[in-house]
Amino acid sequence: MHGARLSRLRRAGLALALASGLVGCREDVEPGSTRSVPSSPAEVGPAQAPPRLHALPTGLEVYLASTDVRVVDPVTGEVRASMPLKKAVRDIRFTRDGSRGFLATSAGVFAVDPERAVIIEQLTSSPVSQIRFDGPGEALFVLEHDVRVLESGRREVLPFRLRSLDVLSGRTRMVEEVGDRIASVLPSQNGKHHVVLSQTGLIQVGLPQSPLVDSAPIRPQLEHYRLRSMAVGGDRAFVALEGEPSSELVEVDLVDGTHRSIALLEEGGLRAVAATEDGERVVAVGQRRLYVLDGVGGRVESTLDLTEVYQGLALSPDGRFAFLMRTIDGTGGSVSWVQLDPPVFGAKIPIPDISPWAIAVRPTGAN
Amino acid sequence: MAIKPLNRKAEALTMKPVDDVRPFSPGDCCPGFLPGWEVGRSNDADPCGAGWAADLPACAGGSGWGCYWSAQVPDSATYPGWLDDCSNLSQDWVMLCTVPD
Repeated sequence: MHGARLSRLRRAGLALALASGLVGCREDVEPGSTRSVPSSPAEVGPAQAPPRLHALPTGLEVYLASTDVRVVDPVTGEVRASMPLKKAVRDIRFTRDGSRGFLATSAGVFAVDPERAVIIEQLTSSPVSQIRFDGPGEALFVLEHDVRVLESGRREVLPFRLRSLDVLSGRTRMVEEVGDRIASVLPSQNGKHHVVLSQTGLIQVGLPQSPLVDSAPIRPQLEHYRLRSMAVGGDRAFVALEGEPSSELVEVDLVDGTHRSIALLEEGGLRAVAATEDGERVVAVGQRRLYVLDGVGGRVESTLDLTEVYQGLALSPDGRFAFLMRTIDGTGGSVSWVQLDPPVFGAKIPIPDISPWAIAVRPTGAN
Repeated sequence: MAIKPLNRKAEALTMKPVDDVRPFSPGDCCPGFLPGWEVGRSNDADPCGAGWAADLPACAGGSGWGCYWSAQVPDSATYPGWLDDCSNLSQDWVMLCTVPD
């Protein structure tokens, strides 16, 4: 009798359990909810929230150029302005306040009025590889060269020279010969060393105030390495070397002329490097990884795996965001932005009508 | 057209295993070779990474430092204006001139 009563109670309890859905320890999860339902005790663990993505500050302008220039608002993803030029643009720089921009092109340096988004003046006429401001931002250093075409049709590349232009007047302050086949130059300023990168792969450092042609290689020219680009921040220059067994950044101390290598443990491509003005943060983009480095300590702080390969890189003025350029993407190119604290991919912005190979972020009053 | 050995030395050469070298030779174009660049480290036929098109400026316009890809491109120091008519590489590549002029 007792057993039969319990059996009825047991059956009632079972019916109640079935009605409430508690049978089998299963909880219903509403569609769209994020609560996970473990299928076994072994899989129970603390949920890890993805890193928070901060919004881009307003007022940023990203300049991208091939032979024409496009000005992109990265917040809205719109192309705000276009500047046709029909000259291959190699470098883009802005004054510290963003009131004036300069384009290094195959036909010389052109000045840009960013407020009106127009090209206002041609300052030089020889092909330019690189432009860089001096410390105070009063002079623009222009790495240029000429090509002599002989009667036979053979072309002779003349020695590269560094021209210093006054930013306000556009007039030439001085011209100095650098050497043959130069890739990049950082002249001596305020008693610091100068750095000269050759197209053959040499990193050369010279004494303060010494001629640029008097530079000595800081390491033997290595096989399997290729110079990519140089970024300057604070009292340091960072040279990107790609190759085997791993790509690296060579950091040159401009004060004492010493150098050290920062291995990135990545074999292959190292496309670009950028640094904040104070040199405290350095960012490099490899084949499929972005590196955020402590520029002072010389170590990798964080990385972000990328799903695409990028050819160029620029930092926001506050150093919190990186803009990655793809030369060919879809019908044109693209620019993507990445948050750096912590590294999180933001968004990609298609640039449908040009294949950009130069990128820069214009400082504005808002950022 | 098969190459036929005509003497013992040539025959010995044909008996050797074929090296795994693959020139990136599209159509009847004459590629410019530089050993080591024809095939990438990952055994891909594009030595410049993620697709030839994505890296053409890095090999040509952007830096032009002697990247010997299948269609050999002139370096930007000798031909600084080579890309002047190529605002959009995907569409304007037909405008690229051959060098020497």
